[in-house]
Amino acid sequence: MHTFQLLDTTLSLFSTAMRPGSYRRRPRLSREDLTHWAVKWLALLQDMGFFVEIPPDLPESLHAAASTAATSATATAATTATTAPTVRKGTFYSNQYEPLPDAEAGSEYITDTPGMDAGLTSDGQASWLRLRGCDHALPYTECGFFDRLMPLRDVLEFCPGDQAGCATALAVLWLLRGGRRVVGSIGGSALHGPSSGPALEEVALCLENHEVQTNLRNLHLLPEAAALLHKAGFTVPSHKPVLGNQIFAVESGIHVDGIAKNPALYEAYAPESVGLERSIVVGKHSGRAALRLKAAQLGIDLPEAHEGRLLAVVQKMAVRQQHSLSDRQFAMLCESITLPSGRKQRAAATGAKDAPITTTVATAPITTSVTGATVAATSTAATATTTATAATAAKGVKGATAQSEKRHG
Amino acid sequence: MADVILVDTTLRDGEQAPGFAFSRGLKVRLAALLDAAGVGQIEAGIPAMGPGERKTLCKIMDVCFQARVSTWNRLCEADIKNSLSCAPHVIHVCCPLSDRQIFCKLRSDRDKVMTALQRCIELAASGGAEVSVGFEDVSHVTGQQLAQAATAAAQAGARRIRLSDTVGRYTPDAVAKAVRLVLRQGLEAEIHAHNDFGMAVPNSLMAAYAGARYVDTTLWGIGERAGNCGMGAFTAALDRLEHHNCAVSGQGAARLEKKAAPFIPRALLEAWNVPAARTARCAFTAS
Repeated sequence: MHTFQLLDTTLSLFSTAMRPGSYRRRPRLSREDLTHWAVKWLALLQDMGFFVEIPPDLPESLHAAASTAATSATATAATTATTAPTVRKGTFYSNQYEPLPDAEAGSEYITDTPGMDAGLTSDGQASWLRLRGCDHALPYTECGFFDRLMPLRDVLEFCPGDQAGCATALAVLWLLRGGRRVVGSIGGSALHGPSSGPALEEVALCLENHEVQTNLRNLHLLPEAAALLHKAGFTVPSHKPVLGNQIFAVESGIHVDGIAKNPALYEAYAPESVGLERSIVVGKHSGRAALRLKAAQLGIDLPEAHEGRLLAVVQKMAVRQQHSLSDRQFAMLCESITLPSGRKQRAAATGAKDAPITTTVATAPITTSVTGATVAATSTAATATTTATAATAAKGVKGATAQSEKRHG
Repeated sequence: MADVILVDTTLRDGEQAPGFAFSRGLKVRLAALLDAAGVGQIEAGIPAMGPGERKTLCKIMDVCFQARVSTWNRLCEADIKNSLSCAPHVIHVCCPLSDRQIFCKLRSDRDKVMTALQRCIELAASGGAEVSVGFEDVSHVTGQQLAQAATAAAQAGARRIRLSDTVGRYTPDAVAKAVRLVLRQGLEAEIHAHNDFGMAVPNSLMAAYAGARYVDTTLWGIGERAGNCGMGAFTAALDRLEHHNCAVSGQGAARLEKKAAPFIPRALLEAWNVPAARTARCAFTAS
């Protein structure tokens, strides 16, 4: 039984983008930085079990003994990429694990990485044919598109394009039907554009979900890969499947409840398996259970009697600002809701210590300017002898906090 | 060439995405935009959520010229009575179907769920609305269970089955198989795909090729976790592959998404990888 191979081409995409006149998005790294970055990237992805394609113009710095002649020769071949379904001789890149057919040109790139298992090199594969494009192949997968390629499955590596948004699906189907190797990149077309092939992390997770044996491990390191990509100027959208840091945020009452009972009901994979964690967002759709959980997380003591009122206020506030509440907003609401409604005005009116207002200000860290304003207001409240001035001052405090809320919301 | 009818669920499933909170005015306005763009059905909300939601629903029904309005209901008769009071065109009943949903969430068994489903369908159909049944978590269901449930639903009077892939683990192969199975029961099929493995669009496409007439989408692909099938992405792909017609073209969907974007807070849409709108004006000038 063979294992699947997922080959990541991020480094090649970056080095192509660094060339003058390239249409690709350029990483925000200098040449030297890119080398350091590449070293980290290589180590990280190998740790997870992905294969990494090393472009010919990087190894000279990655491995000091690279020859420029071979670099230019392989580089020219690598630039000609088409989106049409073409099969070309795939000798234009050097992989860590497979020796190039041209022995003296390729020998510089073959590294003896310690910790590489021998199973990968022992397959005796000299080179792979790379099948690119096939963006529109999805309707034909049911009428023998893959069957015609199957005789070539031991030499064919598949890199479907994402023009029609189907790259991940095509890659998964290819592997599930007996293909051996898929070429793509971490992040896929969301980061590198549609010609960069499928998002490998999606393919990997999907295979694991269908209980196919892959040689991938340590997938909880994926957020580190996202952080590295961010350093290179490629920010992963926070709802990108598998990689996005917000995908396990829950708000709606049913789901918070369901997840408290059995997380697997509403999650395709556990957040820990991809290095993420669940979070609860308080907003329009929150239920009482969500409020209770969130208050416990923030360390706020929320009496049960106030839950109903708090829920109503939370919903009203979320709709008014068209956005869920931030943690600080929620904390402030909790503070204000636990005070009996009459006490606030009475305290302000008498001007005695104005305890409720100061506690609100103290628990919620606001910006310096606003704090200054409130301090001024409270000091006037303390010094004021007439009730009228104290009341206006209290109003001022309220206005200031509301303003700060708006700005931070 | 077959026709695909878009069912937009931005106002129901899309809004459930963490962060979003649509006011009534915004919902009505989005519904009007969707209607003008040619969306066939708008899933407007959950009447059981309260009188405010029901009022929103009625307003949405007022502003829609061609789109049909549907409501979402859990598998209980109280929900459906609430729906009937709004008199929508389509009443959707969501029925958990996988073993784990039935045993862990409902703490019930399959026979009880099936009888409850039939009762709910009959009640919903009594008002004259079209009834569609959603099978929740259908990617964890065997073919036999699905066929049995579809037959039961058809007997009770449902006309359409929504294959709701709650955790997004379908592959295109499995989707096509399930859709054909539903069609064999003499029912129409609808696909509701989630994007947890980045396969919402291909799954929806494959369902359309297998014969599903209805496809669920949301604007920008917003939704729980990694989202739903995005309207722009789906229609663009459909245009590219050139086998099916749709009332909303890829360009039309892109224009719609651009028009609707200024209504939503910027920070929220950035998380969904929506390119920044150039001016806020364009939302108001075009009708």
